[in-house]
Amino acid sequence: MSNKYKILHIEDVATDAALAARELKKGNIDFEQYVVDTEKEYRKALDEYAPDIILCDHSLTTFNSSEALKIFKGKKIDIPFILITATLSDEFAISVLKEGADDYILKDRLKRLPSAVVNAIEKYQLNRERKQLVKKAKEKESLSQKRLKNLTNKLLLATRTTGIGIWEYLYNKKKLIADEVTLKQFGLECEDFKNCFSQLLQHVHPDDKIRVNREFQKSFLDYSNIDIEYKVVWKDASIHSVKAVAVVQQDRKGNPQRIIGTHQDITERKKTEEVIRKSEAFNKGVLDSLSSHIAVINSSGTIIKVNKLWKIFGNNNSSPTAKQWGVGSNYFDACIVEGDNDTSSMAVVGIKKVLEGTLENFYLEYPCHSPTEQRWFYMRVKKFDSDDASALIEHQDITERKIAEEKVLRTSGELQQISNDLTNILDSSLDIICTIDCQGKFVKVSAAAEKIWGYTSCELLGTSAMDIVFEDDVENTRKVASEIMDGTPVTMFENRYKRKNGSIVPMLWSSRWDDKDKLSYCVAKDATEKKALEIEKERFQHLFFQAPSCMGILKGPNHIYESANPLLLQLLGRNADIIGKTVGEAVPEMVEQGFLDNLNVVYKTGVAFAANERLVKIDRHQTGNLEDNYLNLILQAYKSNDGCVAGIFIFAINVTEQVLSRKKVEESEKRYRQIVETAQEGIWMIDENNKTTFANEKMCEILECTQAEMVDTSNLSFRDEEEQKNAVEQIERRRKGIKETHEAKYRTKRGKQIWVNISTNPLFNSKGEYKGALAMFTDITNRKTIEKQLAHSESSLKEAQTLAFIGNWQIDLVSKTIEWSDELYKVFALDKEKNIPSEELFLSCIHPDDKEYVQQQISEGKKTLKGCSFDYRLLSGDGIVKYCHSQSKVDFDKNNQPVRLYGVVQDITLRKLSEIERIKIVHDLIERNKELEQFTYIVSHNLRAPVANIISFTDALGDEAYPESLQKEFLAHLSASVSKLDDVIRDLNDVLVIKQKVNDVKELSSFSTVVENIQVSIKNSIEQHKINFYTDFSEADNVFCIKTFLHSILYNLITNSIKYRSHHRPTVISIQSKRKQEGLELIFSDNGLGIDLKKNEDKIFCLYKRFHSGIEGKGIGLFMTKTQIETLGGTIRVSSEINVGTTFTIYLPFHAANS
Amino acid sequence: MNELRDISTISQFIIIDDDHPTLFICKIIIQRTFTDMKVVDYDNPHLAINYFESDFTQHPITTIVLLDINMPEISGWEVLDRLLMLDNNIKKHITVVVMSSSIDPKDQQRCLNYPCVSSYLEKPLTLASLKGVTDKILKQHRSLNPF
Repeated sequence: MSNKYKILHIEDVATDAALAARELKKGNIDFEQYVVDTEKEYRKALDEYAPDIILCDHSLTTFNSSEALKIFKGKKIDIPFILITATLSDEFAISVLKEGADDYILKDRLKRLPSAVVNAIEKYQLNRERKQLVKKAKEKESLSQKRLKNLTNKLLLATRTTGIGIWEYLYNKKKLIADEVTLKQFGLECEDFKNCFSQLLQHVHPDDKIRVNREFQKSFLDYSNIDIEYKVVWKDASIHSVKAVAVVQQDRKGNPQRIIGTHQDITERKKTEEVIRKSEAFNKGVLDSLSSHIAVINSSGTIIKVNKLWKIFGNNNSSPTAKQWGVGSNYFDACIVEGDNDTSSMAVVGIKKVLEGTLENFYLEYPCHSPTEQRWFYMRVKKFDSDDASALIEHQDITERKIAEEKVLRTSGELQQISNDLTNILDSSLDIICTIDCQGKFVKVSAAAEKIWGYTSCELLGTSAMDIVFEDDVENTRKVASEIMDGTPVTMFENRYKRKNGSIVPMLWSSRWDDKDKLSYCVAKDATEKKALEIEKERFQHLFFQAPSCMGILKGPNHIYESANPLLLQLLGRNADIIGKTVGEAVPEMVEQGFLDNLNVVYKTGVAFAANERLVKIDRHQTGNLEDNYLNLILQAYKSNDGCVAGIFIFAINVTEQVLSRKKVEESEKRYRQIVETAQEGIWMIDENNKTTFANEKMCEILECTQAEMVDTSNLSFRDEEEQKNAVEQIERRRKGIKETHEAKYRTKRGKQIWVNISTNPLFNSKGEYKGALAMFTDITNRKTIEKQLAHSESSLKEAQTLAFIGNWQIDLVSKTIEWSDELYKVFALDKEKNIPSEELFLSCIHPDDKEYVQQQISEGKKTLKGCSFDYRLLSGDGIVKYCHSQSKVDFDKNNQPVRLYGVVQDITLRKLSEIERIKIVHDLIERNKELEQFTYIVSHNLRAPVANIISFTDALGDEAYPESLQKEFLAHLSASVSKLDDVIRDLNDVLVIKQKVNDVKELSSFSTVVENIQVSIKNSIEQHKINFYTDFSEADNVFCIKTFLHSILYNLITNSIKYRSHHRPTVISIQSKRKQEGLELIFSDNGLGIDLKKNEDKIFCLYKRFHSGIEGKGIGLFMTKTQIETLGGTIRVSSEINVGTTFTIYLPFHAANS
Repeated sequence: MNELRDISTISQFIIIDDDHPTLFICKIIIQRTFTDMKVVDYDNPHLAINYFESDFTQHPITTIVLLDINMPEISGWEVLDRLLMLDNNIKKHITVVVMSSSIDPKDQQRCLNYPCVSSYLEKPLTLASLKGVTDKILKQHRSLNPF
C-alpha cells in the first residue's frame, strides 16, 4: 500500500509518542500519527479517524490497554492492534495476545516497531484481500446456480404452457422416459405408462404405424436424430396429429448415451393448413367464375396471376399481340402496344399511382373497339391490402351500357326542345305557374312572378317558397303544403304573399303533388280584386249580423223574408228557416196584430212606418203563449233599379225591458207613497227655501196641524226663538251635503213644546244643486222627560261623590264595557275627555311601590269573584301622593254567572296623612323617652364613678391596716374624685340649662362675627398650634337664632379640631355656609386625626363618649353641640376618615320650630 | 400535677380601667387579699389585648381580669369580643370579672352572656366583693377538676 499509514496512538506521555514516531521515521515508514490519551477521544478516533493500525501504551492514567482492546474488538474493526509497554511478564504477554492484540513491543526495544507495524498492516491487508476473493467467488457461484435453476424452471414452464412434451430414450437401459405432456398427447396418464416404446406405438394411427415404428427403431439402433409427424388415436377414437423431434446426446468420449426430444400436438395447425388449402381452391373458383377479366400484377407490372376469363379474352381477342397478356408478360408493355395512346398512358399512370400507394383505387372507362364491333371496357385497379408489391386489375365489358347511354343522350336533346317550348308557354301565362320540390324550394317559376310578386323567376329559383309567404299565413300554408305532399290536391287555397317592395298580395292557389317527380305543380292567381269585393260584402254582413237592433229584409208584395239578423230571429223566437217564407207563414200571430197591414201600406206607398213602444205579442216558444214585447219599429221600403218598391227593410229595437221596468217603478212609487202616508214616523220634505213640500199624516199629527196648513210653511216657524240659531246651522249643514241624526225641540201649532229625534238627508238635483231636505221625525218627548229626571238624580249622586271623594266604577262583563264616574276621574287626577277607562289606565295611576300589590288584589278578586277591599297609594304626574281605598262587588245572573263588577274608590289622603302624623308623633315620643332613659343611665354612671372612688378611698382611709404612706395617696385620690364629681354636676347643669334656654330671645347672628370672637378668645392656643382658618360665609352670613348657642356650637367644634389635630401636618379648619331651601347649611371640616365612624357612628354625639385616649376630654362637647342644634330645630351630620379629617354638616332652618 | 395546680389556683390579676384612682385602689385591695399576688394594670385596653394575644399565648397562666366597660376608644365589650376569639386552650386560663359603675341592667345581662365572664361587680371594689368573686371562681375551677 503506497498510501500513508494512519496510526492511532494511545499514549499519555508526549515524549513516548514522539519516540515512537522517531523510530517509525527511521524505519522509512510514511505515516501520520494521531495521539489520544482518554477513552472518549479514543472512541471518537475509532469512529471518525479510520486508522490503519492502533498502537497502545499499556499503562495509561485514565484507562488501560486491555480496556482499549475490548472497546476496539467490540467495534469489530479489522485492523491490527499493537501494544507498547515498558515491562511485560510472559503471562501478561500471553493474556494480551489472547485478548486479541496482534503484537507487543517493549519500550526499550522500539527499534522493532517499524517492522512490526509494516508486518501487521500487510498481514491484515492480505487477509482482507483473500476474504474479498473468497466472497466474490462464492457470490458468482451462487448467482450462476441461481440463473441456471431459473432458466430450467422457465424452460419447463414454457414447454408445458405451449403444450410441448419432453421425452428421452436411454440407449444402454433401453428405457423410454416421457413426461405427462407427451403422454397426454397419446391420451395416456402417467400411471399407465410402463416406459416402453411399444406401448406408445399401439396408439399410433394405423396409417402411420409402420412408418413411425421404422423411424424410431432406426433411431434407437443407429443413434440417428428423429423428426417425424404422425397421427395418434386416443381411447375415445379421436384422431390427433403430433410431431416428434429428438437429437442424440453423447457423453464426453463421444459415445451416444441417449436421444432426447420433444413431442407436440399439431392437430390445430394441421386443421388450419387444411382450411387455407381449401380457401385457396375456393378463391380460385370464384375468380374464375367472375364476369370480369382479372389479373394480378406485381410492382413492375408483370402479370402474376390471371383468371379464366382473362385467359379466354386474351385468346379470343383479335389483336395479334394479345397473346402477350398471359402470366409472366408485362401489363404496361401490353397496354402501350394494345390501346390508343391517350387511354393507355392514362391507364399506365393510374396503375403506377395505385402501386406507389398515392391512389387507393383507379378507374377508367375506355373504348376498345375491335375491327368487327365497338366495345367499351371499364378498368378498375386496386392494391392488395396486405401485399404492397402487387395490384389487382379488373376489366369489365361495358359495351351494352355505353350504347344505351348514347341513345339517351340523343333523346334528351329532343326533349330539351319541347321543354323550352313549354317554358315559353308557361311564361306567357298571367298566373304564376311553378314547381316546388319536396323541400319547398322553387324549381321553376313562370315569368308572371315578376309582375305579381316583383321577383324575377331567376331570383326565386332555389329559394324557399315559404320565405315570401306573409308571416301570419305561414303556419296555415305549411299545413296545406304538407297535405298536398301527402297526395291531396288543393284548389282555391288562399294565402298572402309579400311582394319584393314589401306590400302584401293575396294569392289563390291550386296545386298537385307528383310523387314520381317529387314535385308540386302549382298555379297561383293574384286574388287582390276578388278579395276587395269579399271584404265589402263581409263588412255589410257584419253590420247586418252584429247590429244592436233587429234587422230584416222582406221582398216582394208578399213580404218574403230574404234575410233576418240573429237579433230579429231571437225576437221572433224563430230560426233561419223563416228565410224564403212570407211574414204570414213565418210569424202568423203578428198578422192579426195589424202588422201585415202596416207592411202593405209601406209597400204600396213607399212611405216609411215608424212606431215607438209598439206592443207586439209573439209566441216565442211556439207554445201558444203570447209574450208581450214593446218595440221601437221602423219599416222602410227599398227600391229596385227601376225605381219601384222591391221590398221592405225592418228595423226594430226591443224596448220591452225598459218599458216593463218603468212600469215597475211607477208601481213601486205608488206603493211607497202609501207607506209614507201611513208611516208611524213623521216624514217632512222641504225645498231649498225651507218651505214645506210634503209632510205625511204622522208629521202633521206630531205638529198638531193639517197637511194643507203645512205646505209652503217654513220649517223654522215650528222652532222656538232660542232654537232658531240651531235650525239655521242645521240647514246650512244640509246644504253642505251632511246627513245626520239629532234631537231637537219643536213647538206645535198649538204651542206645545215637544222633543223629537230627527234623521235628515239633504236632497240634490242631478246638477248637484241643493234642492231641500227630507227628514224623519220621532216624538221623544216622553223619553226626554224621563231622561231629565235621571240626569237630575245622577247629578245628585255626583255631588255626593264629590263631597265624599268617592268615585265609582263598573265593568259590564257581558258587553265588556267599563264606566267610571266623574269623581273617579277626579280621584285619579285624569281628564275624562282624554282618557278611556281601562284596567291599564287605573294601574298607571298607582304608586310604583304599590302596583304589584294592587295587581295581586285585582287578580285575586277576579279569581274568587268575591268582593274585596284594599288600600293603596296613587302617584300623580306632578309627584303628589294620594291614599285610596277601593272596595268592589260582583253581580251574578240567574245561572250564577258573574255579569257585573262594580265598586268605589275613595280618596282617603286626608285621613291617611293624619294617621301617619299620629304614628310619627308616637314614634318620636318613644324615641325621646329612650333618649331620656339613656341620658339617665349615662348620667348615673358618670355620677357613680367618682362616688365609687370616694367610697373606696374613704373606706381605705378608715382601714388602719394600710401604712401611712398609702393613706396620703388615698387622701389625694379622694380629693380628686370629689372634684370630678363636682365637674360632672356642673356639666349636667350646663346640659339642663340648654333645654331651658329654648325660649331665649333669638337674634340675628353673624357667622363671621361669632367665629372672630372665638378666634380672639382662644388666640393663644391658635398661635401656639399654628392653626389656619379658611372661612367663606359669602352665600349666607346671618342666621336668626340664639347667639350663645351658635357661639357654643362653633366653639366646641373649633376646640375639638385643635384638640384632635394631626401632628404630621399644619392644621386647617374650614367653615363654609350655604343657602338651602328654608334654611342654611354650615359645613365645618378639619384635617385632624379623624374618627373611626364604622365603630362609633351611633356614639359620636352621645354624652361622655370619647374616642381618643391620651387626649384630655370629658366627652360632653359634641353631645352639647347636638343638643343645641336640635334645640334650634336643626340637624348635624358627620363624616370622617382616620388621619384625613372630619367634616360636620349642620343644617339650621330659618324659622326654627319650637318643639 | 402542675397543670392541676395551675387551674385550681390564681396566678395573676389583670385590671383594665381608664380611671387611675380605680386602678390604684383595686391593686391595693387585691394585694391585701392575695399577698404577693402578681397584679398588672392597663389604663389602655389596647395594651391589654396585645398582651393576651401575644405573650399570654406563649405562657398561659390562670388569670383573673377585672374589666371596666366604659372606656374611650374601645369599650369593655370589645375587649370581651377579642378575648372570645382566643384559642380555647388559652381562653380556659382566663376568667373575667366585669367591674362597672353603670346601673343599666342591660349591661349586666349582656356581660353574663359571655362564657368567660364569671361575675358582674358594681364599683367600688371592696375586700368582701373581691373575696366573693374569687371564691366563686375557685369553686368553679375545683368543680371542673375531678380530683
